Amino acid sequence: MIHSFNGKFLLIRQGAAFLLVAGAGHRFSLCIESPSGECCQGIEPDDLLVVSAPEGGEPEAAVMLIELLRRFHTPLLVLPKDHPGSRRLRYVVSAGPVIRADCSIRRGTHPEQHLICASAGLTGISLCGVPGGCEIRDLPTGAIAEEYGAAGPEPER
Amino acid sequence: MCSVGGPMDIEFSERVKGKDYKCKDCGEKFKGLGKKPVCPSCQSDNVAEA
Repeated sequence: MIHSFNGKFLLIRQGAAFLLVAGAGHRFSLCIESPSGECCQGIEPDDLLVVSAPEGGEPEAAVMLIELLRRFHTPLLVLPKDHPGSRRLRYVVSAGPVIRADCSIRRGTHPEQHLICASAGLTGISLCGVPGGCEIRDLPTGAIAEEYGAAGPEPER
Repeated sequence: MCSVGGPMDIEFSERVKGKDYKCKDCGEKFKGLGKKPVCPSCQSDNVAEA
C-alpha cells in the first residue's frame, strides 16, 4: 500500500503503541554524537523519519522529535550503554530509506539503520520511502494507518 | 540508526563506522554514513572520501 503524505504525517496505531512517519523532504546531514566520536548520516529527500512509541505516548511529542531532526537538523546524542536515563525515554527515532519495526530487539541497542523498536502488535511492518510518501508493507492485522495533523511547511529541497 | 527522544539516545555499536570525508566546498572533515554523505557544516553534497 502506497501512502502519500500530502503535507501531513502518517500515524500507524495498534492499541496504545504507534509509529509516526514523515518524509525527510530535503537532503541534510544527520549527526550522531557518541562517546566514541561523531558520525554523520546523509539523509535524502525521500528518506523516512520514523518515531516509535512502543508503550504509547503523545503523537505531538513524536511530531516535535521529527521536526527537531527535519527542520532544525538536531544531532542525536548517544548515551553510554546501561545509562540509567534510557528507561525514562519513551520515543525512539529512526531515519533512512527503508525502516522495519521489530519488538525483538532491545531498545536503544541496535545501530542498524533499517530497524526501529516497536510494540509486538506493530512488529513486522516495513516502511519504504517513495517520492512524496511511503510504501507500507506487512501492516499487521488490527493496525490502523491514518493521516495525522499538518506536517508544517515543507523544507526547501 | 535508532535513537530515543528526550534527549535522544542510542547505544552506539562498534558495528557502525563511517568513512572519512572532506567537504570540497568548506573543507570540513567528518565521518559519513549512507550512500550520499552530506557535509554537516554547510549541508553540501560536494564531498569526497579523505
